[in-house]
Amino acid sequence: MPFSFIDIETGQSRKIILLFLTMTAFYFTSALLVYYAITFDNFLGLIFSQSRQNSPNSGGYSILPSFKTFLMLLAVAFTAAFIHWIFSTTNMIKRILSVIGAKPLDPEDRYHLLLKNVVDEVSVATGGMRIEPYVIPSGYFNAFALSDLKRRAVIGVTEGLLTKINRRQLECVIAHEAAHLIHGDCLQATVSCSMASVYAGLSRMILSGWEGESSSLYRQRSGFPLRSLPLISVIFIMRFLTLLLNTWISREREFRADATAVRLTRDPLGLAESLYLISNEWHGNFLPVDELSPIFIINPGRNKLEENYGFFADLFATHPPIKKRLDILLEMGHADYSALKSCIKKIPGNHVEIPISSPERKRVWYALNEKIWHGPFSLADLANIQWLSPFTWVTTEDEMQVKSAFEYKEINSMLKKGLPQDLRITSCPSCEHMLERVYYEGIPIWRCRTCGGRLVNQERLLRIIVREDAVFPNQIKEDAEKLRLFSLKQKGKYLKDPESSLKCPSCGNLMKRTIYRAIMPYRMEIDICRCCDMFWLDKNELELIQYLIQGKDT
Amino acid sequence: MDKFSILAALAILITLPFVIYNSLIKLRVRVKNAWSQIDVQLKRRHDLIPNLVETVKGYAAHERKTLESVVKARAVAVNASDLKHKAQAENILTGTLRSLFAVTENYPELKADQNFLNLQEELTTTENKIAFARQYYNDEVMRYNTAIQTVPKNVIARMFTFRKAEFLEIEDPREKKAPVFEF
Repeated sequence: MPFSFIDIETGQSRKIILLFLTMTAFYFTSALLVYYAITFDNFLGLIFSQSRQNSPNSGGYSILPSFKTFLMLLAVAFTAAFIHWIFSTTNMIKRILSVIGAKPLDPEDRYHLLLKNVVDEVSVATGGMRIEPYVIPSGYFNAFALSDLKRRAVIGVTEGLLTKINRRQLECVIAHEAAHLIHGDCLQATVSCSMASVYAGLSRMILSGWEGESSSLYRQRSGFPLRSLPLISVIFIMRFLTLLLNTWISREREFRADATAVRLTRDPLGLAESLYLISNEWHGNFLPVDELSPIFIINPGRNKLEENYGFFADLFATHPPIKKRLDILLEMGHADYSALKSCIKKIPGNHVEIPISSPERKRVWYALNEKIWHGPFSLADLANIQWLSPFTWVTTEDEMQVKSAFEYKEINSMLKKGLPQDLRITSCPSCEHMLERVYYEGIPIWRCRTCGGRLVNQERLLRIIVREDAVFPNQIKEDAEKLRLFSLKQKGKYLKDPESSLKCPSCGNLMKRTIYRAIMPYRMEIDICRCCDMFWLDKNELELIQYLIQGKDT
Repeated sequence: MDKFSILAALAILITLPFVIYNSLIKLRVRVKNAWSQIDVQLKRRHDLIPNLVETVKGYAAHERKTLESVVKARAVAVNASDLKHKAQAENILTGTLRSLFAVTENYPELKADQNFLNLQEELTTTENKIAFARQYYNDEVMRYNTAIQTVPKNVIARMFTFRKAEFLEIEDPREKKAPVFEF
């Protein structure tokens, strides 16, 4: 077992060559088998044909291919392996990330900050491996790890997992994924997955072709397509073997990764708790390709086999039964299931909307115009000055020197692209009082102190609604009931107030009035700005959406 | 043929000490590297503490005793030079920090301060990193110490005076985990 990341670095190149050789060998065997299949087909054809005696080929059939054919097959296998290799390794991580919809972290989100810190901590425990954290913006529970040949390593978790488990449990999950990275499992998994997927695709193609053909043949009263039988069987055997190999290796890996995670965190109970939590929740059925499932901590497709013992279950599941994994971990931690169930509850955080003070607001500049210094100006004030050019002399309070305006990074970007969004947004669209920036569920949003309205952008709203720190006032229940009655009465596309009178605080355009679709049977009418993807929610509406999404009304 | 095998055996005998020596050097460098990782994290913590003290002062000025003890412990830890004193000073610093965070529980306004929350999160993660770096260091020390004491490496180790590296002891087993703060 590799001791730390440094050992992997040295072993990596050897492993890559080995992988490539395995692949070449694999292609060679399959090329050989295909060759046999073709010749066997000829052989069959010869037997069935009437002119067997006269054929010059009948005597020349031998079991072993000649040396020339052998070399040719080897060349073919090598080329195929090479093409396959190039195809499966270029941009591998980027492709897989986009397939599963993972996103980079939002630096302002406090939950994401926590994830980043935890990943950094685990990276210290591995001896300094560099890991990039990613997030899948969805409510289910899962985590994955990816790595490629350029030693880029990625660990991702879902938004739901981030919301529901505490720091200690998150650390164990990340350690489990880091263990996969340490052992280089992800690299092997990706290559073996791509190997398997080629044969899966081929057999699917042939099957569908065969079905189409047989239906057309049915009219001609023809029988089974005997000629392609060897080819089909070869492909099926190959596919079966890769599947078997793949799943078996993958299951052994899960046990090993659990063990390494415990070595990294010295906390078997934490891992047991998180596994228990993840297995009891919905872990997603989103994968477009089955072959990707080995990279996740728990198989995303709800596969009943995973939870069973027995010969067949053991053969075909990519992950070992959770119960088996839990048993091992609990024995390590000297605990049992009852202890596990009692300690997994997450203590709800104290929910306060914390005001954010942005440092840029406080910084002041002085500018020189016609030999007179003007100021102090904030960045927002500077944006409104007519005579300001990139070459105006500008200075700050604490600096002793005078620079051109473009030399300050903030002023330069303001002159180019306009004010940053958090400075541009100042007044509430409905009551025109000041808007303040606050953290709501760890995410920065704008709030109006006077009318209680909130401004959120769409991407962040999707994250907020699955988080569960907020405490709902009693009135929310009544509001939900009111909304339900209203939704029953209202029909079709008609809105109560079809026209919005609010202007988007960010771009100044008129906002649009629509129904928020995520809670669809409930017809909540909200204002959105299509051009900056901003949502304006009146007082308590955000809480109401959360309340309904999280199913607290039942 | 016989000559050849004798020559081969000789060649192996000559090269073996070099191989062992190199492997020992590698292990020792790794121990040093692991130690420097701890140092980086400790320094990070020392840099964070003045900020934390300033922020807490703004809300809880009359907890002067706790604040002073943190400042004092930090000063001792920064100035500690050898490994043993350093470990001791850092342990004391961890203890004072913990009592500081316990005190801050009584100040809801402080707990809603963005600056304080950021510092708290930073300190928690730094403490965890220190713990993990220490764990990694101890693992490396164990590897190195085992290597220089087992046959055949111990012969070479004694010849070139490879000294045993010191473990970083943790006094309180519960200390491995820094206090967990939820925001």
